[in-house]
Amino acid sequence: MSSGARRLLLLSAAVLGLLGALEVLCRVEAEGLAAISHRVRFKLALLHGKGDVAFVALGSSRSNDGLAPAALGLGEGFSAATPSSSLATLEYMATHLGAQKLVLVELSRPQWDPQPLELDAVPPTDFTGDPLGEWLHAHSVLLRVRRGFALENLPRVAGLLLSKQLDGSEWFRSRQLVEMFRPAQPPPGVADDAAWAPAPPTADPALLDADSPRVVDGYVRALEALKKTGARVVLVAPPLAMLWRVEDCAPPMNALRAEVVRRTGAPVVDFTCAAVDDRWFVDGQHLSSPGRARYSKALGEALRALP
Amino acid sequence: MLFHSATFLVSVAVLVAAYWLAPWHRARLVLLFAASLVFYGWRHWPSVFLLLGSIAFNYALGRVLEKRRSRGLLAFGVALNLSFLLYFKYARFLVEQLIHLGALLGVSLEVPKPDAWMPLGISFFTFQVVAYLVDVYRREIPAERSVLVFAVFKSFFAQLVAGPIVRGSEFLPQLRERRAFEAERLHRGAWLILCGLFLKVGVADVIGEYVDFAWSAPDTLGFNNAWLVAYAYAAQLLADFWGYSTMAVGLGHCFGLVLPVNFDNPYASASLREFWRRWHITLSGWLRDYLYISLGGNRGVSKARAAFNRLATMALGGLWHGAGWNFILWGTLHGVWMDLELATEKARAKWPRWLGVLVTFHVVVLLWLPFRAPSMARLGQFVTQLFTGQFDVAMPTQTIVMTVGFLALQKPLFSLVRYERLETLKPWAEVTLAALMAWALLAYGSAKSDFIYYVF
Repeated sequence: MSSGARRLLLLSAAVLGLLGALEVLCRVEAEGLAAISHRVRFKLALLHGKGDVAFVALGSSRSNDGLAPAALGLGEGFSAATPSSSLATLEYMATHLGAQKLVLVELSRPQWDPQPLELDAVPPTDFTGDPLGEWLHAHSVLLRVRRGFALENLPRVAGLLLSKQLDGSEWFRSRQLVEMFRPAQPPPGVADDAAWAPAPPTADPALLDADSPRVVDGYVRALEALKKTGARVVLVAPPLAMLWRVEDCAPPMNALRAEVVRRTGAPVVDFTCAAVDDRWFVDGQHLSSPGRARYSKALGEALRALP
Repeated sequence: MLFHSATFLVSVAVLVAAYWLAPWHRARLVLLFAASLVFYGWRHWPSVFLLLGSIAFNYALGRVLEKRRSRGLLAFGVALNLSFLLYFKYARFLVEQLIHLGALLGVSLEVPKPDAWMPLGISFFTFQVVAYLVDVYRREIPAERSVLVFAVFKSFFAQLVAGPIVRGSEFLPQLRERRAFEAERLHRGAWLILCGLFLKVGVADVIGEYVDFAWSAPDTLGFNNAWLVAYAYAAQLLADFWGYSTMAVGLGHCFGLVLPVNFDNPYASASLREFWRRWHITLSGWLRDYLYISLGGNRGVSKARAAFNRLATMALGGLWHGAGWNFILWGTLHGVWMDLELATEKARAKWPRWLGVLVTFHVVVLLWLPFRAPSMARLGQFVTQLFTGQFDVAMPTQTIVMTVGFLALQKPLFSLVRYERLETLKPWAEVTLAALMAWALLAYGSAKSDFIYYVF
């Protein structure tokens, strides 16, 4: 065999062999690779790996950054909150969480985003003229979970292996890397203890807009799914800096949160309108490390005070 | 059919096997021609008739031109070929300009806007066949005797829709000759196809996601992100078109055919004239040989006339890319800058090369803006943000990493995509790189698709 033929075979074997081997791997380890490829599945896989916990928190990056399960004082908890969360994420989580004792569900604007939940890698937008590509995308597990092979997702493998030791809050935190090297200090001279008090949202049905039923119905469905498994559900809303508070604590938003509380009948711990110091936040809506400790303490106290 | 679709890649593998198994040269050509027609008609079959008509007409005209060297006949042939281009590509634009002009003069023109479909690659195959007719007329090549050879020359799917623009002198002799199978050539072809695929799907499309998003609302960009988009588009366009051209050259090798190389590290050019010797090389060569020289070039003419010739060539080159004022502006600005370069040649000769490269690169990057702009209004918004926009704290990390990485690694990338001497790449290095490219395509490859130059 000539050198050219040998090298052609080597090249083909390298590329096709790699893709074939990965396809087999994806079929054998379908669940694990699906978990690595998507943040929502990943958090669920971590939780299932961890086993029995006292409570689970669901929500967006606001809760993911703001809530330290261990600091709540409610026993061993787990944060299943994820960035880019939406109402579809909440409903998916609620139906896949399994039996839980207590679930804290974030009640804030990012959580009712209408964005659909894309669990698999997005297939090409246009399969016109590519029937084989369409067939491959329909039948290949590898193409569905291909994002799992991205470098930034590989540390999730270690996460799944160590799931028993983790509480879920180790992932996806804003500025986590920066704060590892330069821990944020509590704001000097801050005196806002009185502001860290939750207050239920003010109801005003006249302020509900045309989009409200979508949000309310989504929460109702999610909470019903959770309650079916025997979980106690509490709605929680994290605090915000002034810049974001003026929008989220506006009367129409308050009315919407109040309507969700009324329709679901769940207890609520709402910090949305709490006039806390802006310096607890890294960007106005995500809490810094000290802010996270402060909020978790206040939330824990409020939850323990619930009947 | 797109080069980076699974259907195309598998079909090509089958075609390559059938091609080399076919015992007769004529059978191989028939296979290539049939495959090219299927490829061309895949998305829009009526276009095939345009292609077939063009093949028949230009084949016959070439034969007649060889027998009777008539300037009028050549002019007729060129005009007829260009008239199709004019109708399919520019008629709507011209009518719109006429209506605008009428409105400016206070005349309301009720002219229906032509709504013709745009046959894929019409700009490329029109230029290819015009070059053929001129070459026959100039007695630089004989007219092709075999209609089958001519049909494959005109329709070979690897270069039909987006080049490289192949000359008769370099491609026809290859098609006439029966080639022996060379595993080395097939190996090189497979390597180039993989490299092109990586450049297109793993680099250009990934960067393009943010570029497209940014251009949809340029007035919302911070100045930092506007600059990022300017650099990112320069990277996207090169990766896209270089990727396509590399796949085309690779496909040629799979059938034992050599297609010309279209890119040679263009962003390392120290002047715009050098840039055009390294960017879309086959188009630059065409514009030089069939337009610039026909206009009078720069020999035996006044400096002003030579400057005009350059400007006109570049403006028409811009117009060739698309029916829009932005393309004319882009081409004209290239011509203006080239004239400026010539006027300041003595001063520039004292510059270190890196300074020339830096200046030229930024000129090219800024001149891509009208090329990319969907409208002149958006171009104005974008340029405003470039120079007066606020600082935007949120920057797309992936786009930054990809753009900087791709632009910074131009030299090694161009040396890795080997068109001639693949055997100098060690087998272990080749396998490692191939596996890395396949992995990158898998993990990061974009779902978005279409070659930018397909629309030209």
